[in-house]
Amino acid sequence: MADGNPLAGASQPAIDKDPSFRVATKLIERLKVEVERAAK
Amino acid sequence: MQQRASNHVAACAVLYSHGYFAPAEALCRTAVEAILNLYYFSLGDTCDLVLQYFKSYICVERKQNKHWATNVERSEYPEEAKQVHRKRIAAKERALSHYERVVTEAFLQINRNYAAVSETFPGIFDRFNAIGKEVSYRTVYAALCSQAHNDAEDLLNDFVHAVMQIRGAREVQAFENENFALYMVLTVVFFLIEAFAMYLAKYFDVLEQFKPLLNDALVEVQEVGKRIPLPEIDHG
Repeated sequence: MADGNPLAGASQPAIDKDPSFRVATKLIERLKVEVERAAK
Repeated sequence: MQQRASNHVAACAVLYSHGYFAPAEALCRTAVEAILNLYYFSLGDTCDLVLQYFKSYICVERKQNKHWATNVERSEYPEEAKQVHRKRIAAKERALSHYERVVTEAFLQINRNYAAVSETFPGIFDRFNAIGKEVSYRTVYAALCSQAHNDAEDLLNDFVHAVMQIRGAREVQAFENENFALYMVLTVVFFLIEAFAMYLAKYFDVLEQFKPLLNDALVEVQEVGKRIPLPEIDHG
């Protein structure tokens, strides 16, 4: 988290519980897949 | 260019996920600028636009070097320190000239004339305008610049809450800050998908393929947007 040690939790995302944030990360992954598919 | 834009967006999500909301917004601005270029380069002749982008950079850097040299000469630095700066400026000038020669020759092979291209690359607003997103410049981009420039907004919010001592106001503000950052992260994800679709559509038949992705991103942007309340201002 942003409080205290700035690197604490750097390897473990603190708030991936928000469903909309999970959608955001999934969208980034899906975009990567679509771009690779388009370039083939 | 695509990789750079994608990396910036991924880093925005990383910052958000670790609770760095204001830094996530600041980086969203950089992401928007990278995505804007990808989008802008999909308009017209991409090679000409990229050549203009390179030439503009070289010209701007040369002007910066002149200002750098002027400021060094006017400074009260000792002669020895000034000499170090002069050497650095000369080295940068040589590097720019080398890059200019390489770019000129490389683009000549695809029939592009470096000398004939404008040395001015359109500013941010003009690029937003060119892709038909002037309103986004006034809203999304302006909000992100405010955070990137360290404007007084966040500090002012804290100050007012401390003075007014309204119960729960800090929690409401924290909720709004977190959700506004998420709204911006999702907005840049949507913008990245749209820019990729526009760029790739120049070369491949991808628009149908990208539609579900764009639609899902838009739905989520709108969903998170609903969490950010319009202020009910009571000045009484």
